[in-house]
Amino acid sequence: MKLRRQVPRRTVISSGAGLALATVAYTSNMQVASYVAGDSAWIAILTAGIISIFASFCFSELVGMYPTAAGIKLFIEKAFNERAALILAGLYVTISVFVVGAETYILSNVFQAAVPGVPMLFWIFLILTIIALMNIRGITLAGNAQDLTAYFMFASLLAVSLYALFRGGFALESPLQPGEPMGFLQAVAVGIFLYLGFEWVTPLVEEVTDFKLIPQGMLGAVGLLAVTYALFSVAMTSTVAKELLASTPIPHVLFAREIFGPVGVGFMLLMSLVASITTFNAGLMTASRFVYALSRDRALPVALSRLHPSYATPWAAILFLFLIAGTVSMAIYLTGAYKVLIFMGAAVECILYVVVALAVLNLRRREPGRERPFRIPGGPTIPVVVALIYGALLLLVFVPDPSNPGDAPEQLAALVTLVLTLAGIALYVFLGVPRLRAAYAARRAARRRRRPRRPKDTSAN
Amino acid sequence: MATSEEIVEALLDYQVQCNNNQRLRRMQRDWTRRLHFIAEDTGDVFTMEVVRGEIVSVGAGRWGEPDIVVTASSEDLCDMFWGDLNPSQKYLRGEIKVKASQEDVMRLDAITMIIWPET
Repeated sequence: MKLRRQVPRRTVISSGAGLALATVAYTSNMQVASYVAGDSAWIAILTAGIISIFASFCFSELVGMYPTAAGIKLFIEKAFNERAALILAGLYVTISVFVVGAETYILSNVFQAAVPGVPMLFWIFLILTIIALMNIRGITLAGNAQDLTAYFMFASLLAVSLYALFRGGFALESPLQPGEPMGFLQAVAVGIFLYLGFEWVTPLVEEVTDFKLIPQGMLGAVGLLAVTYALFSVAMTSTVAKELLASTPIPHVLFAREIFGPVGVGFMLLMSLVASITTFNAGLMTASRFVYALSRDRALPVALSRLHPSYATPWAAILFLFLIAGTVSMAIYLTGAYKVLIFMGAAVECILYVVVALAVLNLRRREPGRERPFRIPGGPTIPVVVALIYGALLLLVFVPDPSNPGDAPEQLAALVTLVLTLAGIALYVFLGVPRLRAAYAARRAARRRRRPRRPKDTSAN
Repeated sequence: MATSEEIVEALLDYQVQCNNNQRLRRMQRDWTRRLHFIAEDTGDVFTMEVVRGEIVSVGAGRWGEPDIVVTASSEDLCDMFWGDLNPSQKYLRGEIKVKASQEDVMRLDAITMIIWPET
């Protein structure tokens, strides 16, 4: 089968890597560095990348079985049940929107650093409004534009990192000794957040005719992210004092100012803008489509499936997510607790990967004969290892680190917020969804079937 | 199992419903696509041409290279074109498979939602 418009490999990679490389990634990069000694964060970042590759194998097997953009919900439903799928998909989308809120806050900080006279609230409101309007208007980065922005970003970050290292004479402090094992493991756990989004390559399975591009795309995205983050992290910590970098939401701006002066701030403003655009582009748009689909499936109120009369975009779903992202941005603005979102994001990614690994194992038992264009080699070994590793990392995200006692309150806040969010979604799935579905079934039953009945037709509506 | 004739009849009705809906025509005015519908149980293929939101032709057979490929059972295809089925529900359960961009998938579902909002 051939399609007139097909997504090439480079775009599959740029989509996954571009979404994960958000402005908030610089902040979380420093969070990783704060757990380890000297300039050794690159080891934790690469380790998190290697573990992410194992997780990508699980996604590849499942997406091969169910090649649809609704994949995550579908294969969890097939492996477990619909309620589990709705809860997890709901949590995943909620966290994605929380990350959009955090991204807005961090980007506003960058703007404020570049234009100090303007209040941050103005930037938060302006950024979210522009993004919402772009989404409602249906303006997207696609194809070549997506490739150009993503690869420009990666090439620039790699070039700046190498320049910074060259400028410092490659003088690194204990680059091969991460320090305490516990600190290193926590760095890997938080490092998982850096790769948040690489699996968003999977919806592209509907836009490619060669399935192999999806596993290859995930591998390419994780590889590109791992190398870029690792190099950038070492460049930052070897240029500016780590304590200073870890105490600000905009470490990359301090780093660029140190190397290039005021020009560096302008450069990082541009980089942040590009990074955020790709994140918003893929994140908010995909999330709004998912909310629309759930509304059409009567798992969310029908009002959320309203479409714009001219642009055919789900404006009600976009506004709904805009409000959530805005609330999150405001909450971070008022509390300054941006790290809460980093801990939550890392935890949700860990939960997702554990469930995905278990889904692989469950579906091998439930549907042994189903066609699998990609099957993870080595039997159950890799899915079991993925489930165990991410299960352990999930716990580590919330364990207070003695060398970073200042993070404990935010770790606790992240845990409480995550539990409350999960409980809220579960309550809605168990109590709200059945009511919506019952009302819908009653309306459907009252509606006359349009399809003409054939003499031998015995099928019911 | 729906026959090819039944699906074509449903497609012709779908064409009338779409083309007579002014709201839909305005919404899809920039949308020009060629769609293939594949009935996976019978192997029948149907082609639909949409030009600037107007369905200009429908029929049995495979014409040209598609922008969108929809695969489902012949019964589901027939019910979908008559407006007796919510395509989103089938899509989310993996019973209707689509090869297209995310925007096109949504526009395809939007057609049913605009014509038959109660589905």
